[in-house]
Amino acid sequence: MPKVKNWQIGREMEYPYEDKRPKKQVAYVFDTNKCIACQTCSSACKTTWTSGPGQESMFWNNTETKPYGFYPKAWDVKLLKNLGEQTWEGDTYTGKTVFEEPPAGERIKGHLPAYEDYANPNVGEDEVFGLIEKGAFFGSVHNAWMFYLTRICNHCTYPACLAACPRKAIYKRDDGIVLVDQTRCRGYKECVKACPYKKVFFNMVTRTSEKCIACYPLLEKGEQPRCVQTCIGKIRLMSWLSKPGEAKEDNPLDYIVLIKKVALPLYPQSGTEPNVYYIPPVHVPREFLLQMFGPGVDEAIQTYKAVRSDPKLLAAFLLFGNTSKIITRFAYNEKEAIGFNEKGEEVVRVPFTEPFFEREMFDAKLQVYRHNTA
Amino acid sequence: MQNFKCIVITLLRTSRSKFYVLSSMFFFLSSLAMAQEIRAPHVVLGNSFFEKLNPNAAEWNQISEQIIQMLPQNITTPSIFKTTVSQLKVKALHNNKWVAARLEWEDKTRDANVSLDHASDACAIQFPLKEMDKTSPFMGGKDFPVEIIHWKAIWQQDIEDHYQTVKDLYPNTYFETYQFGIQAATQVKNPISEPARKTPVEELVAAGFGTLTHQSVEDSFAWGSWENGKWTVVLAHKMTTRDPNDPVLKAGKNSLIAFAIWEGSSKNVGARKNYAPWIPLVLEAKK
Ligand code: SF4
Ligand code: SF4
Repeated sequence: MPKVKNWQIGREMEYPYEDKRPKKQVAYVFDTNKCIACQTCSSACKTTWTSGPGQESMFWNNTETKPYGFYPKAWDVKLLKNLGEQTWEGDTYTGKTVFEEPPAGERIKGHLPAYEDYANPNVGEDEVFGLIEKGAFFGSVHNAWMFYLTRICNHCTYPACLAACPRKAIYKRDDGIVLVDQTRCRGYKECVKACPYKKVFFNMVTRTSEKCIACYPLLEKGEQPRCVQTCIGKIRLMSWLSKPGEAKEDNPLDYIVLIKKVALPLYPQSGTEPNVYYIPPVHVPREFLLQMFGPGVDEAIQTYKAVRSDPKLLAAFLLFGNTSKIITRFAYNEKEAIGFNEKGEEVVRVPFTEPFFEREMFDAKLQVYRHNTA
Repeated sequence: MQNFKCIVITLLRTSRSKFYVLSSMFFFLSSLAMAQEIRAPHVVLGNSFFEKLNPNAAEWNQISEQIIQMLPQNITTPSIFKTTVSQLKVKALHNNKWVAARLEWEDKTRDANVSLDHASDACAIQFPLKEMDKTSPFMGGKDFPVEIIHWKAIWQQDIEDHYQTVKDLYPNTYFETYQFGIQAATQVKNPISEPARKTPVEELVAAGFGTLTHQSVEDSFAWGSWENGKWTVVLAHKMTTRDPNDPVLKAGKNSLIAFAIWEGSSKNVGARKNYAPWIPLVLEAKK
C-alpha cells in the first residue's frame, strides 16, 4: 500500500492511493467558543440540500453537545473504540489510523450505523458533564461543562469514504471537495461504514449515498457555503488552505491553522487529515480536548486567550461571518481588518471596535420615546 | 475437490503478491471448476417462454439439475469469509435464440428492501466476452471483459408492488418539507434510482474490479419467486445480439458461466457475496 504524508499526525501513513494533494483545499475554521447551537447552519443546509424523500434524518450539517450529544448515536465513541489505543509522542501519532491494520476483509476500520442511530440528532443537547456543587450556582464559577460541536464533512485530504468505495464512485476535486458521483454510486454503503465522522449518509429512496457537497455551486462563484454564510454566531470561516510548508501569512486560513495553529483538526488520529479546523473550547478539561483535537490543544488555547494582544490574529478572527464572499487574503491597520477575494478586490472591512452610538430618548423625527421597558 | 478449491482460495487470500498469484492461478482454478458442467439442452419453445419467464414453468421439470458449491468472496476487499448461501441448484435450456438459467437456492428470508438496515436478495450470472481461457472469473480483466446479468429482488418488487418509500420500512416517519427536495441520483438517471422500473434485470459489463458498468437492457429477462424459504429465479439472455458487449452463444459450442448470490438479511451487497467461478456451459445442438 502506498505511503502518504499526513502533517496532522506528524508522520507517513498507509493509504490505498498515491499522495496527490489537490491544487487548493477547501477548508473551514469553526470557533467552538462562539457556537450557541442555534442550528441555523443545520437548517440552512437542510432546506438547501436535504429536504427530499429519503433524507428525513439526514443532516449534512449538525450541531451536537459534547460530551453526551452524538449524531449518529455514539459515532465517535465507536470510532475511538475501533482505533484502539491512541498514543502520541510529541506531535507524532504512534497509534493506528483507520487505514492501518483494518480487520480481515475490510479496507477501513469502521462501523455501519443503524437507521435508528440517526433518529435523535438532538440527543444529549445541553446536558452538562459533572454535578454542580452545592452553592456554586450562586457563585461565579462552577466545574460542570459542556460545549457545542458543529460538524460537516471534513473534505479530508485522505478521505476514508473514497478509499472504501470499491467502485471508485467517490472523488476528490482539484479544489479539495469530496463528492459521491450520483451516476456511479450503487448504494453499497461502504463509505457510510468507513467515514470516521459519519458524514456520508444512505438515502433509501435513491438507494445511493449522499454527503455534503461543500456548496460547490456557491464556492465556484467565490461565495462561502450556506452553513457559513448563515451562521449568526459568526463562528465560521471558509477559504482555501495551502499545502503544508506553503502557508501564506496573508491567507486568513493559513494564518489561523498553519501558522498560529490556533484551530485544530477533529480526531486527527483517524488519519484522514480532516479539513474543518476547530478552535477548542477554553473551559473544557484538557484530557477530553487532547483526545478530540490532538496534542496542540494547550498551545491553541493559550494563543486564543492572548488574541487581544495579537492584532493580526484578531484581524483574521474579525473576518468571520462578515461577508458572504470567500476571503483569500487579508490585511489590517490600526482600526480595521480588511478582506480581499481571489481577484484581489476588497470584499469586507471590519472595525476592531464597533462604533458606539448614543441616542436621544425622544426621537423628534418619529415623535416617539425610546425606552427599554414595554 | 471442494476442499482443495478452498485451499487455493486461502492461499490467494494470504499471498502478498495477490494479483500475480491470482493471474497465474485462475486457469488452474477454473480448470478445477471443470469438474462439473452445466448442460443446456435444446428445447422447442416459443420466444414467449423467455420473454415472460415463469420460474415454476413445467418445462423445467425434465431438465437435469446441477448442484454448485458456492464460495465466500474474499479475493478482494470488501469480503465475506463464510458463505451465506452455500449451495445453488442450476438448470439451463435454450431454443437456439434464447438461453435461460434457472437458479434455486435456500434463503429463509425474502429480502426485497434496501436501507441502512436492509439489503436486497439478488443473483447474477456472468459470461466471458472474449477468449474464455484468458478471462478471469473475478469480474473479468483489462482486454478480457465479462457480461453480467443481475437480478435484484427489490427491482422485481418495484415492478410487482411499488417503488420503495421510507414509510414502507419506517411507517412512523413524519416530515414536512418534501416539496423542496430533489433526488440527485434519480435526476442524473442512475439506474439504481429509477422510480418507474420496467425490468428486474440489469445488464452490466466489467473489465476488472471496480469497473462494473450498467448497460441499457435489451437482451435479457429475469423473474424470481420466493416460496417456503427458497428462491427460484430464471435469467434469460439472447444467444446472439448486435451488442459487442454481449456474449455470442451458439448451440454446439461451449461457453463458460459463473454465478453470484447475495443474501440480504446477512447484509450481502456488492463484493460481499457468494460466488462460483467459471463452469463450462454446454449448449447442446438440436437433436
Ligand atoms: S469527513 Fe467523511 S465523508 Fe467527508 S471526506 Fe472525510 S471521510 Fe469522506
Ligand atoms: S457546506 Fe453546504 S452542503 Fe456542506 S454542510 Fe455546509 S451548507 Fe451543507
